Amino acid sequence: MSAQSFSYILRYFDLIGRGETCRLLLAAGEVDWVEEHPEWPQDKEKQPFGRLPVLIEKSADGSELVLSESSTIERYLGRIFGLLPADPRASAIQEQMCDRQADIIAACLVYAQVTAEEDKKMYLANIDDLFTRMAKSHMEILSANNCKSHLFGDKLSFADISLYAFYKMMGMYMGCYLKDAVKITKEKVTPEIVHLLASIEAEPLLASHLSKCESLAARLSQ
Amino acid sequence: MSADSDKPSYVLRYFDAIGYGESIRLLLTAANVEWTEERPEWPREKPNQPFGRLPVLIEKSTDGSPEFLICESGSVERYLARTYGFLPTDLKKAALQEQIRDQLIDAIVAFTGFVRDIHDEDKNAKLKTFEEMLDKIIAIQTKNLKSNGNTGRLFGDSLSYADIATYVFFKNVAIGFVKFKADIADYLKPKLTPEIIKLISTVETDPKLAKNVLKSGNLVAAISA
Repeated sequence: MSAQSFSYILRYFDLIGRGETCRLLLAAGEVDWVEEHPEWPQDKEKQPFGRLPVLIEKSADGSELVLSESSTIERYLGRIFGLLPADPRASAIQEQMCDRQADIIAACLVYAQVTAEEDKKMYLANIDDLFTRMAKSHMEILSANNCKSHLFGDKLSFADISLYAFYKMMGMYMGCYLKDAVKITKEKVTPEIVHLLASIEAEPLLASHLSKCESLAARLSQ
Repeated sequence: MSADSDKPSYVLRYFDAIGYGESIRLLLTAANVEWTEERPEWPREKPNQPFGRLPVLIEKSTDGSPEFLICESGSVERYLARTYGFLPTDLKKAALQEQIRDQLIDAIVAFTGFVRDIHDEDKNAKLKTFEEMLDKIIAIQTKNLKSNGNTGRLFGDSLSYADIATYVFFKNVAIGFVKFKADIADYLKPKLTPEIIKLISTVETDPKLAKNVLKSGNLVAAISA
């Protein structure tokens, strides 16, 4: 089924958070899409699960698919755009990497919300441990791939997009809540990962979206 | 029914808990494959896991090819559900089931935060979030079950991934969480709708799960007492 016969609405906050991977996937899918920023919390009860993001897929015949939960939305877009492999094993390898990244982002969002210093310290220690392991895994995956501009194969994949959004969250967004976020991120990235991020940033399909923002690769190279 | 010997066999590494392992156990059982469970000493075995966490699933082929390891409970569950037909091949229909599982896990994560946070203000905020999510889950699932003819199944007419994930969620709350909050089962019981109770009973009595489903406890009994 051609993805061109559908148009999309992404409902999220005007933040990176849990929405950025969705935005990048929609850009890579070369489909007709718009973003809505619901009033919050006024529009909370209008959402199927009372949360964002929400994806609405409208087909030419007027029918709609409404999906909630960022991970499900991301995998759905990844699959219909052919960015996530159809082979279950190859897909599982990319999915497990993205699940781990989502856990770290979730921990960051919780870190931003907890109030007591002791709890903040606990979450930060956990984030640091998970992030260190994640960056090590990224290097292992990249080292095993012949092409150093992509995590898997030689074309833009779901994993590339998810990785980019992850480092954007850690390197450019977490600074709102964690003074040392950029420093922590720079300590964990390697030149090889920065090169990978720069390659993803240069992808023509993503340029329309990423040209509006500061270069992540440049920020992490400073 | 003996397992089909042409299919791969599996090893699940997890703790002695419902948690994030039970859906995997039930999917392996329903798939009718050969599988065993390892209970790694923790935290001693943490460095020996690919990402320092559990669950880990090891798939062993019959053709001598290398073992395949998958981590992250969601990825493991989706891999088994896709491979053994508990998720539809239609991507839209599969996504509608996956979002249910993701929503259930969000509630589990909120409760886990309640247990782990140190200060009362943070703990209470997490517990309140868990309670709101629980209400939302019950409302949505009840609506889904009614739309599907109140057969005790969320989609179609046979055991699905969404059915298993929902059953395990309520098993976590009514049985698994009790050691962290003694009154949690009593909190849950009056909220359960007849439709959800029917789903629980339909899953727990499904012949495909008979071999293992009661090993972690009897959920129908736990919610009836």
